[in-house]
Amino acid sequence: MTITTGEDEERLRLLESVILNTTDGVLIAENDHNQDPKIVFVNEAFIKMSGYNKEEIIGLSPIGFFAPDASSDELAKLKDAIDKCEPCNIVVKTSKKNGTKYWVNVSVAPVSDGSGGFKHWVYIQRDVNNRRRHLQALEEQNKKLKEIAWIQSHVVRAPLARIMGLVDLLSEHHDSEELSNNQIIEAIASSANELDNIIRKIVQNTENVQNQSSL
Amino acid sequence: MNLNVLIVDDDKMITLLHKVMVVKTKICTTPPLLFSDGKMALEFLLSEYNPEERYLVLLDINMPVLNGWEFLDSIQPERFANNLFVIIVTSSVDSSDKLKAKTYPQVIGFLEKPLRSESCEFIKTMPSIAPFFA
Repeated sequence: MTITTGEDEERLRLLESVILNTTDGVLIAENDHNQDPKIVFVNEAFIKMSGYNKEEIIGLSPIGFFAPDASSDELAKLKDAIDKCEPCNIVVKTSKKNGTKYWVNVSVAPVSDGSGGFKHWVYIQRDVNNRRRHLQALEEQNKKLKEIAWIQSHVVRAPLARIMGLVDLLSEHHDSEELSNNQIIEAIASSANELDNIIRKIVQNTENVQNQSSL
Repeated sequence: MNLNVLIVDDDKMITLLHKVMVVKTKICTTPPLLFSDGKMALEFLLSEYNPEERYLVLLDINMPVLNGWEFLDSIQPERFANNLFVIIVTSSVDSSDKLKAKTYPQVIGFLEKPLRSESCEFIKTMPSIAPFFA
């Protein structure tokens, strides 16, 4: 039995207020013989985030809680960490009670019982849905920009290269049976038109990307 | 020994331009052969190839039917051995294309369009084909 002094109690109350007031969801689970750990504590933020009430969460296995939507890789990482009594950090998709899926970052840490064993686990869950959505939007945009770069290199340069070659020829006062000067001038004009159309298309595509990113 | 020049490009104006350039700079003494895609050039080589002759292919990358890479993949067999040289002539300024070109043993050069007098003079100094212009 541990005797707590007034100072200790004050300190514990402060620490407890961190768990109660944080916007991160906090679960504490207890080892249950050889079975999955069982949830023995849940904070208000977790209840708010998940939509489940306290009674529905207490007694469940945290693994079971994340299992339905998690990828098998993430789940294996979590189970492995629990088996080895090691901390781990995973990003999983999980479900609210109303069925909405959302992405969370889960940090899991074993709590030493002071005598060399581990009896408890702390799960801290942070909503990363917005961050994830932004990341996806950025990846999508990067893909579009790469496409634009490809077009610049392959499509825009084609009529431009033609114009450069034709102008070279013209400036060397070339006049052959292959290409008369009039034909060269006509070809320059049509290449310039082609270039103009391509650039207009690129501008339009870029505007589409911008509109999407401002959504 | 004669160096047969094949110009492979789907852009008709470019093939004409390049034809004028290679004739003007005397890269070839016989008129160059023009093809609008890789397949036509490949079919020509498969049927007309003569091991006593040497071939220089000025190859575009982006073409319909059989593009430049597919053309290079198709001429991999030892059949053409050291008698066939390829110079990629592309409008692409993409460095990844340049790197990819280096993986093909027949590719002796990588030039940007359009071929100008200077690029043609440069072709004549490429070690594998320089003896033809000595």
